[in-house]
Amino acid sequence: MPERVTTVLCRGAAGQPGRQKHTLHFNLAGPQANPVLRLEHISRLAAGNLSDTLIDLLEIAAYVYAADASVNRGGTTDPEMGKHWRRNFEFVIPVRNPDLWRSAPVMTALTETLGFLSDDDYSFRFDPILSRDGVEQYFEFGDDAGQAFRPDVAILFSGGLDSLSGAVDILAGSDRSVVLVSHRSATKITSVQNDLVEQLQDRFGAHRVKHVPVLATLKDGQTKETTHRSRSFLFAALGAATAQLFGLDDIFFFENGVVSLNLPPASQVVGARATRTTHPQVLAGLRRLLTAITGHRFGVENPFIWKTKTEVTAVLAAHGQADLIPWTRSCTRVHEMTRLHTHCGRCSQCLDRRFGILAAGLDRYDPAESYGTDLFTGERPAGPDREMALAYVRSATAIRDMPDAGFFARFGETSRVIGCFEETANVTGERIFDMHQRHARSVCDAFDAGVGRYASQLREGVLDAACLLRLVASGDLIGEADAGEQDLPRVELVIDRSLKTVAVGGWGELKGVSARLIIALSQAITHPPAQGGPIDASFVKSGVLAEQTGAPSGEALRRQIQRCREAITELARDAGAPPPEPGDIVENLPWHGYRLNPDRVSVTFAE
Amino acid sequence: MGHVRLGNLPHSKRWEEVVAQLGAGFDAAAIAAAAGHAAETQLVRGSADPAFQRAFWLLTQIPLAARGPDFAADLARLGITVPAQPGLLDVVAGLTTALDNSVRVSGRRSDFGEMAQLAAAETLADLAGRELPSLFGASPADAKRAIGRYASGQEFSRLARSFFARLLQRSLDYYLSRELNRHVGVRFANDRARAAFDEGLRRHCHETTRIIGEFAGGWYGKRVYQGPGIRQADIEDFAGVAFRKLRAELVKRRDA
Repeated sequence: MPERVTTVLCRGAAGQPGRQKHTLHFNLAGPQANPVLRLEHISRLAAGNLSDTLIDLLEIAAYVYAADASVNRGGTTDPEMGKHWRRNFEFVIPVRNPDLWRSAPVMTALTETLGFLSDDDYSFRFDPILSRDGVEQYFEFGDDAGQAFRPDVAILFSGGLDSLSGAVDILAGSDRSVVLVSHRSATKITSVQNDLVEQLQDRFGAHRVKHVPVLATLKDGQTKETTHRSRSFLFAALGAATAQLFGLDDIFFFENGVVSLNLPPASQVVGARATRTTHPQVLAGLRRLLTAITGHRFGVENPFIWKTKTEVTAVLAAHGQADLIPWTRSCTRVHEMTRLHTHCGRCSQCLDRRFGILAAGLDRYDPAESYGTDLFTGERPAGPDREMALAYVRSATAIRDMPDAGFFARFGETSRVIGCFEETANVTGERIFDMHQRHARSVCDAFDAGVGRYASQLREGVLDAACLLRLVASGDLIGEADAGEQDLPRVELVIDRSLKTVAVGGWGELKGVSARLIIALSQAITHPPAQGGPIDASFVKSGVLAEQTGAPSGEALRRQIQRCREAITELARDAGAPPPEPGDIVENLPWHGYRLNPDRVSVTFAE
Repeated sequence: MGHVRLGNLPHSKRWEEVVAQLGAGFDAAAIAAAAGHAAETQLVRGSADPAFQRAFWLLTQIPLAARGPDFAADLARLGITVPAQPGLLDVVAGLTTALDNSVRVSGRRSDFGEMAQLAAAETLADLAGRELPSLFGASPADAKRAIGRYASGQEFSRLARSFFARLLQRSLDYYLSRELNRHVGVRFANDRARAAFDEGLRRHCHETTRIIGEFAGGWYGKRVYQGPGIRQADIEDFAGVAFRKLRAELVKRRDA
């Protein structure tokens, strides 16, 4: 829990005498401004539309961002179980509308949203501002000829694949115009964003695309923490201010739903260590805050919330714009970016991008050479980056075969998503589950294709021993598998057709749908087994099996099977036995259907 | 814009011992005991963590609420907001929101507390989910029945054991997941073998918490059905005893 309180005194504000042990001072105004905030390409006329409240919001967000970057979180070893990860900030900020900012709805939305976004604790004291000078320095005025521009949509534009797909979806799919708001904190990203905007203007018309880059950064050498978990609050504030400049009441983040929900891939990823940048709870909080401070409904939306990375990438292809992919940058390690290697290939974003593009079949637009570490064959030295890649594939492998209940029993973080939508919990839950299974299948399929592509090199043993292919699949693929696997004992099923129960492996009993499923499959045993003996069984087509178990659809049948497998796993686990693999009891073969696995099962009929 | 931050093991003699044992091929029981020893201070502190205590207390109360005539109203009394006819996912989400609110008010967020919150949500989703004909198609009455089942001493012992097993496994893997990747290609032929080790650790944690389950059933029945109900002091006492038993059990199973 946070023990050290950091007091953040802004714009010359005074704290309570003798109380501050650790104090930061920031001032956006004046020649020594720190942090620096500057909105570019704004017309003087448009700047006049910005309300005092939105100027307050911009300043609050910039101060929060500056403080976030100025206090470290204790490093990557998380000593004392992450004691220093969470910080405690007390801000004193002079504002133009202190009564509004002190009001309960605003204060609650502000502190709750920031707390969830960053894992930190926040409190604010809002004082009346003494001087309103200095606002003009936030604007770098552009050509006033552009003041007639009237966008229909304000998009937060990072220069990555997802925000580009969102912009293209609107530009190619409608006649609406867009204003793209970008946060600039590094010069390498500036040129990426500029190039992409130029491309969009060339393809869809300069009159439909306007770019508002915003510089918001600490002075050199002052950054002590690079996790920047509060960044999307700043980004949203910049978006809201830009939207108001152009008379709009909505801002759009475009991010694939898997990354928005960002379920932890490993046990060490606790809380906001998996960013909550566009988490539905954060967007709902920002919506509440912006509505409260503007006095009218203000939308903060992510139209890609139920799409996977592969599906988001496919949006570009569907609009015939996949050739824009090479212009985008997804990597979080901007400082490592070179002309040759535009992506590190090791961070979670690079993994997500590369798997998504491969699964979408668009890798001709994403050369492998642009990655510092090749997804499949690049060396991954031991440490966090290796674990990231392994955990990514491991999670996908596990989720692909998980039943619905098993998924929610594994990822408690999903409970923070359920209540964020107007639809029922079951509908939201089903959407979350389906999306993650689609994502898992994409990743597994892309990985399997990679195995095929490098099969010869794997067999010949010429790939780096620390590459992803060998780390994940080495022994299984090149004959090093544990020989003991061949000698696994059979699992005995004792089937009681009259009571409709199935005792499994002496571990426990299946009832209900899971038992009905096994009983239905047992009807396809081709030769009556000797009691307790091995079986031979033919496959049962999905449609036939669904009729027998009462499943209303193929999807429902698939879930019944997953639940049955999970129930068997739990019985084994409860009995202290090694759980069987998913196909050990109920085997499935594409195009053929399902059967009791003759290699792993023996059957006794109780009656 | 998403990002995931992963880390390394802390530097200490105890963690160096864990690393050495991993390299030497020690089994999950030995590694769990060594990791429990290395993280002992944090686990001891954890028993007093307010989020952990609140999570466990709510797990004792939710099944009781499900036995009453108005589930939603009884949950509201516990600080859990759900629709009038809640399904299982409504209750799980409501539990997490209630815990988030409680921790935010107390200002005492911690990684251990966060892991306890998740363990509570996962335990409820898992055990009650198993009782449902289907997760998304189950009726509110099905969910109420499935959750209410854990209001008996015998069934609560399963709930408590599952909760502590998840929490123990998460707490140990919080650190071990920083190290295990270094042993892939060395001790583990591949990541699948490492995943099998994870599964072994999970199983070991489940076995280790058997003693909690045995203890919890009687404790629950005595307080709920023969006493004044479960109060904060009861939770503190239970937590203290449970963690002492867990530490002892980890060592015992290592030496078995």
